[in-house]
Amino acid sequence: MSSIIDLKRIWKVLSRILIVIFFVTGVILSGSFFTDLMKGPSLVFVLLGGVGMALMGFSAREIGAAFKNAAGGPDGKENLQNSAYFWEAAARNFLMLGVLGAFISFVTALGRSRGGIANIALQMSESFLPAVYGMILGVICFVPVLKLTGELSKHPLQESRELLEKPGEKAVKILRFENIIGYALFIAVVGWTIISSLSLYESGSPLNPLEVFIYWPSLLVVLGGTIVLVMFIGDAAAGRSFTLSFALTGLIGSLMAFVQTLISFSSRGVRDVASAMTFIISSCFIALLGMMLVGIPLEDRTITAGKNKKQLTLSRIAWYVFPVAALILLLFAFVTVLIPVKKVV
Amino acid sequence: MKKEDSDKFEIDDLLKQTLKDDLPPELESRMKKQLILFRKKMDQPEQQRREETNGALRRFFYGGGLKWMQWMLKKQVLAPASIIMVVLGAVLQITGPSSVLAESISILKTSVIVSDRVSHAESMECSIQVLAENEQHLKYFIQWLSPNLTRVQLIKQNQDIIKTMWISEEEITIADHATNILRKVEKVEQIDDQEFQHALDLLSPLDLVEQMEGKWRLKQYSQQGDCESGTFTVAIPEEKTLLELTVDLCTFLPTNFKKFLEDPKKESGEGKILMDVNFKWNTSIPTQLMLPKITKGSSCA
Repeated sequence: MSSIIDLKRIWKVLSRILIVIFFVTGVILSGSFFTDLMKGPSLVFVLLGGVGMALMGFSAREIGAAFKNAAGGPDGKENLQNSAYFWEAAARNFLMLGVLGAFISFVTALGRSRGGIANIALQMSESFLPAVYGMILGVICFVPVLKLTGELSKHPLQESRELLEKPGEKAVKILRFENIIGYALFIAVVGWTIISSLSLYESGSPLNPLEVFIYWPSLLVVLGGTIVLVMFIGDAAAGRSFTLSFALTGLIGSLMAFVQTLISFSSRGVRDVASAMTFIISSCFIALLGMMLVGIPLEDRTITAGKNKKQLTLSRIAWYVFPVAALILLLFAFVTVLIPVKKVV
Repeated sequence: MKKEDSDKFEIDDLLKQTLKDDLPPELESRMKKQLILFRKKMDQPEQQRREETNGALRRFFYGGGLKWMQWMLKKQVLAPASIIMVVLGAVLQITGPSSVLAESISILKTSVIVSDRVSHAESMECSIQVLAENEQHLKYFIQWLSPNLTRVQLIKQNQDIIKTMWISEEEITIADHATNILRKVEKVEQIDDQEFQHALDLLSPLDLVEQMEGKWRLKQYSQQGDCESGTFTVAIPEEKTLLELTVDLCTFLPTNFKKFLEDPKKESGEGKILMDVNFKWNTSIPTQLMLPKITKGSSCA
């Protein structure tokens, strides 16, 4: 009986591998359409950044358990829930990293704008590729979430509720070694990407990354607004207030600048349009970076420690709505730069 | 009294005699303290560890020279500071600070608008002065009329027109005014007159746009006022030349461009001018000028 079950499992695994092989072969044989979509450094950025973020928010034991559970290994109910959360966090991280990568590529293409118009436009279009990679990887990571939540739903309702409502008996642990490694990896990946891409400047000396990426008005507004909101919301150590505050200030700042762009189109010059667009791009970039570096890792650690599981709705809105809104605003910036509208009047 | 009860009392007495509770009070109190501490440690190991860490952090902040950080994290300081940050950011945005990114967006947007305005022009007139071989200057006068009519005049230094070329969709006609010979070719590539080679890049606005979008590499941009003029400094890597294109920022149409030999020591030109072009846009050009005709010894109007 058990040998029949084993045979079935082997066939199942083999068929999955075959499907993947067919898919990859199809992609390779499809010619230039998919090869145009391949950009190695962007993919590496999203992958390594994702690893860094996973290490920032989870312990090695939790990550190992999540992989084991995703592969079908048996485990306790609480671990199952933590594993489902890990995969959801991984999907979210990839999505956010994709959007962050798109911002970095876009700003680099603009900051280095020393090619012809056609060349710059091409680089700007390619800057959206990391977002595509992030979404694909996010979808892949979402598959275990569906699987594990399905398994969790099989358990009696009472037990699930008990798990959710477990009081914060586990204290939030201070930084573990792997968390510090995660922070270092994330900062190294983002820093290296920014510095290396700006050093590819065609002529003259390389551009200063701080000059290109830091726009003081938006930095002051986003940081100041975040601190005010965190003080109002409270419970900064849980990370949730940081995530929400960064998302809110980033969104408010960029929407204000969006209105300024539209007004500048109708009544002012190109320089005002450029200044407003810089504010949009910079606000979104700083808010995303703040969420990923400060809010989300703290929140992940709090949640896996058994706290705040019931208060995820607002956080989820911030995790998914803000990156998508930021990507739409980036698309708006792309269109605005490349459409030859000077003044509406 | 029952027998069982008497047995219990006997055992109690025996135990009291053997394990006498005669510890000195000081030692007893110390033992009690240690027992309480041990129990606490066993009950709350995690909390204990946290308290230890917090204590260490507290000692680090309070004891060391980082008192200013603790002072900064006070709500009374943090709240007004963050509000000042927001206000300062908003004020800076309104006053319009310069940044590398904003400058790049501005340059790119301006060049996109220029490219669009040029490609939608109805007519173009430009006078070109070229430094040819043997330090001689050649002059051209190009007139272009939408959709596809061009007249190029090659002018001598004494203002006499030596040759005229008419370009239409069907054919290209070249008139030599010195010999009174009129000849026709089908394509621009078939023009073998060396004198016309310098003018072939500016036969129509679309040629200019093609160069702007493909060949030119932006190096620098400077602007005088919001509605005055802007100057792009552009490099043409294939020709090893630099080019300064001045644009009227009210109409976003080029008014002048100068071509220099690229000097690696200088960001902008100011060297020997290889080509100097002055543009006039959307002026009314009579259509009959675009029809080929030969007149001996024409002079430039």
